[in-house]
Formats: sequence, structure tokens, C-alpha cells
Amino acid sequence: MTRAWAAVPALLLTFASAVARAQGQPTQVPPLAPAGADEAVAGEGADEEGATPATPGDMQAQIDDLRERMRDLEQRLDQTRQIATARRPIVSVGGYVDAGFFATQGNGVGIIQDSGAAADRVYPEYMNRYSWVFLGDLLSTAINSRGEAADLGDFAGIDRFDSVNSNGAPGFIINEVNLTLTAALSQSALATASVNFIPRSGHDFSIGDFIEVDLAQLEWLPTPSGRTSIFVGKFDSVIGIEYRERKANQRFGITPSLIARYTTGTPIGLKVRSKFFDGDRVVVAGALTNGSSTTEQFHFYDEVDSNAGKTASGRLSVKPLPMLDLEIGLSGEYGAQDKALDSLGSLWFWGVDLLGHIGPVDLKAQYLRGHGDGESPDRIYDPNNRPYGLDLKHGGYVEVDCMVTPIFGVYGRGDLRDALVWLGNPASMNGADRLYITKSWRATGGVRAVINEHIVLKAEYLHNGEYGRIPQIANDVFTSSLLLLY
Amino acid sequence: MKRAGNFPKCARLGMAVIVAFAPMSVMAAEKERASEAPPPTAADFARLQREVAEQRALIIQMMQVEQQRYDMLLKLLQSGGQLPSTSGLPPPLPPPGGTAATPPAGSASAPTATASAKSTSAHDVGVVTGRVDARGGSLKDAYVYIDMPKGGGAHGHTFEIKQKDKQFWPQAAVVQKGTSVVFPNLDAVFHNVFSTSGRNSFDLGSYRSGDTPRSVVLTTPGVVEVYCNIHSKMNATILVVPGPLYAKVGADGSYKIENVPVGARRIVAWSPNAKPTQQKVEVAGNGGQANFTLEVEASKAHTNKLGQPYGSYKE
Repeated sequence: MTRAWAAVPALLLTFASAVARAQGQPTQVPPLAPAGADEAVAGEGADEEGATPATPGDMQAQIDDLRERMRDLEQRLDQTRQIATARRPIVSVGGYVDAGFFATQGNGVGIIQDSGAAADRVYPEYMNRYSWVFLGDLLSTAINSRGEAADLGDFAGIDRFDSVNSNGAPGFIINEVNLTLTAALSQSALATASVNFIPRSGHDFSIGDFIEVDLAQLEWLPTPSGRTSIFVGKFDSVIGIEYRERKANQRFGITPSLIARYTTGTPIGLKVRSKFFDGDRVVVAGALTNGSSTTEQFHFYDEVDSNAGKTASGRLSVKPLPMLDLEIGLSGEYGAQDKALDSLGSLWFWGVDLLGHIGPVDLKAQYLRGHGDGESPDRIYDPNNRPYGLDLKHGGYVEVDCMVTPIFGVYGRGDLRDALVWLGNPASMNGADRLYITKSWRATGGVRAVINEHIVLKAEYLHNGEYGRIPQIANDVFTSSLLLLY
Repeated sequence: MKRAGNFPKCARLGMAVIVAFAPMSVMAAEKERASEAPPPTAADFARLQREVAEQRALIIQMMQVEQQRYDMLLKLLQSGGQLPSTSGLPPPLPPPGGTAATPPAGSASAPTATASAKSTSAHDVGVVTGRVDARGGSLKDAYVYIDMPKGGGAHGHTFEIKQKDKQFWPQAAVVQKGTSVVFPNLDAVFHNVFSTSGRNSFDLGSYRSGDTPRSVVLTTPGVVEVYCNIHSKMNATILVVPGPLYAKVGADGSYKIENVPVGARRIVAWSPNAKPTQQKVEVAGNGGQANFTLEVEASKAHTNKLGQPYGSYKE
């Protein structure tokens, strides 16, 4: 009887414990036997809820299962990778939008006319030999990387395509919308097309916007090393170094140098370039093209040649010091004059250049000379095919770029251009049409901010100066650029 | 409370009595049992002690088995499913990071390999020595490693390859699989580090100096060619080795790998500018020897991360 009474509370306590456990209240649970222990070991240690300890067989099964899952995942990963590889785009699209704001001194024109009576002229000696004589540099008031002048002026007897035509007014501008398409035709062949869309003012109800194809090339790398490239089509020139950064997305600053008009054009033809030795210490490039390496908006340039004579150009560069990233180049070109219907007259350039990188500082320098025969005195020319004459006595620049921080950079450039450009022949009976006398120097300073890899802000000031007998012209420029890269 | 209110009064009274008497009844039951059981003898004490000792041994054994199980699972996950088909438990793994052969962060050199394997006695290992010569040019950097499928990986280890002056530094490195390779960009310009080398493919995206350096864990042994998608001249080569047994070949062409487990071992000689060569070596207690001649290969052009040739002068 006593035992029966003692058993009742014990049963009640057991019942209460079970209720509490069912309600999730914390209770003391015997420690679980370790998974993986063998049966002999686990037999005594198994808890009252019946957790079965893992056996070596279980472990092997789990491992096999994991291995199977791993194999399955790897197969799926490989398949996904193959799909991703197969879906690689044949054509990749890039480019940028270049928007800016600019303001110029005066009327935005970089030249003045030397006119009037002989006593009033700066160069009276040209008075009877040229109908119009201009002083200064027509492209000195560049406002963007295209080199477009703020205004080309409204001089009598000269009909020019004045793309900006600001009349000296400050304003916003979409400098260029660029679309670059690259297509890998094979592992060693790359096709590239660069097209610029340039929104400009029209007139007489016409739209002034225009499209410019500035690159259309096939680059073939025939050797396994990839150190030789053969280009066919419309490509960058081989003269000097400025062509490498002629586009707004490549240029550290905004505006081109005063000699960029001679070296940064994109002629059509055939080009070969080879690199030799470690670190490309010697690079040789040569090209045969329709016309010269001048830019299309200048007086010289033949997109489709008007004569049989072609232009041969080349460049040799060396890096003489292996420990210093310093490249010295010598380049030149020779060919029939652009825009001439015959190949009798010649146009040539030669120059030296230097490119160095010292830490965050880039040093660029270039010197160029050139000559174009112009019209012969004993010939009559088609009004639409008249070659300009050129005497580029000295031209060059020195530029220093520095990224002070990964975001902020500063740069400065000094330019010089001493040249004569003329149309017509002063020795002919009627004299020549025009003469441009340039003795200009320019100091450019600017800043750039790389917000991220898609947004770059630039601003710069160009102080244009004249020397010699040429009077000072109010042709300074402030310009800025917002680059949106994609 | 409502239910309690409906509960019959007599039942509530009975429960209270039961609860009040429960301790007393338990004590009474214990007193009754004690009065019935004989006192313990010395033999009982000895039996109890023996049982406690056995329980303790079993617990320790269970813990060891559990540890081995977890190690095995971890190894399976880390080795990419390459475990040999073992019917029993695997041998204990070398502790991750417990090797002097793994180069410290920022250093590419490991002149002499020394495996740790604390459980391995001196009689079970040997030293492999030899020479590596070049044919057809000079080797940039050469390494020799023991190709052993079993290896714990260097998880938690990091190795740094800097991007400076539009180049990788160092341009050749050896890391143990599982190593996290960090690519800090010290240039003001953007770089985009990528590799299309099989299972170690990766693309770290574009970043510049000041941005948080990005990294990749290289999990599969093999050669990893690393490039920048923006600057075609930037390149580095990383050899991912399966274990800690590797050594850099000295300037005189000699090398030495210590603590190589005895037995037939596959040994590989590698250089970034040469075709890798391998041979089998029987490693005995007194060591083994393997000499190599590597054929220097001309550098080949590489494509960008889209598989396209780089354009001209885009950098």
C-alpha cells in the first residue's frame, strides 16, 4: 500500500515532465551519441528518443551522396560556362557622349584679316600677291576634342562649313556622340567601326546634324604572338603620338594641340605595325594611304583620292632605357598632294616625338615640320580640286599630365605653330587667293575628375598668343566637357 | 482560468493533497529501497570504476570518430569531389596553414618546401632534389611541386598581387589551392582583372586605387593566366598547386623539396614561359632525385574577357 502511494506522485511527475516537453519548455536532454560512432559504442549512449548513430556505412553513403551532388553541380557549372561562352556577343558596343560648355574671347574667331592700305597692313609685302591675307590660327579657338573652332568667321569670298558658328556667344554643346563597334571575326581578326553623330545647327529649314565615320578597319594579327598587326580600311595614322588620344574618351584634356590637324586624321589604306623585343622596345609601323594624315576639317585631306599618287608614311620608335618607360619616335610621310587631280606636287611631314611615364606623370612632346607644294603656276585647276600650299616651319607641343589622386588630375600644355598656308599661286598672273600667316603659341591648363569609369569631367583654359609681327588676337577659350562613357 | 474554475472542487482538493504529499512519498520510497538493498562492496566499487573508465574511453573514441567525419566532409567539399574512393576513414589531414611552404602574403618565393604533417614521422618522408634546365631560352621563374591529390588546401591564406604602373607585381606566383589572391590596384587608372582559365575563371570588374581590393579564391590546381581587360600588356601567371610540397628553383637551376612522403610520387616542373613537364619519382627514406629540361615557349597573344583580340592603342 505504501509502495502504491509512492508510485502515484512519481507517475504524475513523469506525466508533468512529458507535458512540459511537449509544450517546448526547456528540459534536460541526455547528450546525443556522436554521429558516426560505431554501433557498439552508440548502443549504450543512445538517447531515449531513439537517434540512430551513424555508422561507417552511413558515412560512406553520405559521402557518396555529396560526391554525386558535387559531380552534378560541376556538370551544371560546365554546361553553364559553355552556354555563356557560346553566347558571347560577336559585336561589342562602346562609345560615349561628350557634352560641354564653352566661352570665348571676342567673336570666337582665331584669325583677323590683314587688309587696307599698305601702311595699315602688318604684312604689306603680300598685298599684291594674295587677295586675302589672314593672321593668326583658324583653329586656335578649339572648343572640343574634335578640334572644332568656336567660330570660323564670316569673311567675304570664303564659304566654309562653320560647324559651331557661335559668333562669340558662350553656350552648351553636344560635342559628339560616339558609337564604337568591335567585332571579333576570329581569334586574330578584329573589325572596328567608330561613328560620330554630331548635332549642329542647320539653316534654311535644313538640319545641321551630321554623321562622321572616323574608323572602319580590320585589324589582323597574323602571328601567334600578336605583335604584328595588319590594318585595312580607315585607320589611325602613324605620324607622331597624338593620334592615340585623338578621341575625347582617350584624351587626358579636352582640346587637341595646334599640330593635331596634321597628324590625327584617319586615312584610308593599308597599314602594318610590328613590335620587337621585350616590352615592345622597338616598334615599326608603315602605311600606304589615299591621302595624308591631316584631319578632314582642315585644308588638306582626301577621303577618296583624287589622284593616283598615294601617301607612304612610317614611324620607328624605341625605348632606349629598359628601366624607364620612355619612348622616342621618328615619323614621316610623303605623297601626292591632297585634293590635287595629279600627282605632280608633293606633301610631306616629318617629326620626332617623346612619350614618357614616370609614376602618375605622363610626359608627351612632339615636333613637326611639313611642306605642301600647292598649285603650280602653269596649270589651271578645277575649282573643287585645288591643293593648298603649306610651309610648316615649326610646330610642336609639350604636355604634362598628372593624376594627383585617383579621381583628380591636372594637366598643362605648351604649343607652337609657325606656318604659312595658301591657296593659289602668287607667281601666277592673277596672284593667289588666300594666305594664312600663323605665328601662334598657346598655353593650356586644365583639370579632370574621373567620377567613375563611366563619368569624366574636364575643364580647361586656352590662352592663345601671337608673336612676331602678328598683333594679339582676342581668342582665348574656356571649355569644359562631360563625358559619359558606355 | 475559466477551465480551472469549472474544475470540480473535490478534484482540485485531491490534486493539492497529492502535490503536497508527493515529496514525502518519494522520500518514503527511497527509505524503503535503502532498507532493502545490501551495502556496496569493494568489488562493486571496482566494477563501477571500470565502467566509468570504459565510458570515458568510448566518449573519447566517439569524439575522434566525429572529428574524422567532419574532416572528411570538409575535405570532400574543398577538394571538388576528387577524393579517392576510400572504404574506411581518411588519414588525418595536415592542418590548414600549418606549412612553411606556403609563401607569406606578398611574397612569391618559397625556396625550400617543408611539409608539416605532424603525424608523419621522419622515417616516412624524404627529400627530393634535382635540377631544372631550360632549352630554347631562359626561364622567367621556375617551380617544382609534388602533385598529390590529397591536400587540405590553404584555406584562410591570402596572397597579394599588386597592380602598379599598368603591370602585375609579381608576374608569376605559386599558391596552394584554396588561397585567396588579392589584387590591390595602386594605379590611378581603372583595371579590370580577369581570367578565363577553366575552373579558376573569374572577373573582378573595374576598380582603381583607393577602391577596396578585390580577391578570388583559387580552388582548382592548375595554371591561371591573369589579365587586365583594359590594358593588354598586363599579365600574370599563377600556378595553383594541390599541396604544400613545392619549391622555387634557384638561380643555379637546383631545387629541394623536403618532407615528401615516401613512395611513388608525381613531380612537376613549371615555369610561366615554358611547357610544364612531369615525371614519376620513387621517394625513399634517403630521398629522391628528378631533373628536368623545360622547353621555353614564345609568348602568345591573348584575348580580352569577351574572347576578342585587344584593339590597337586602347591603353
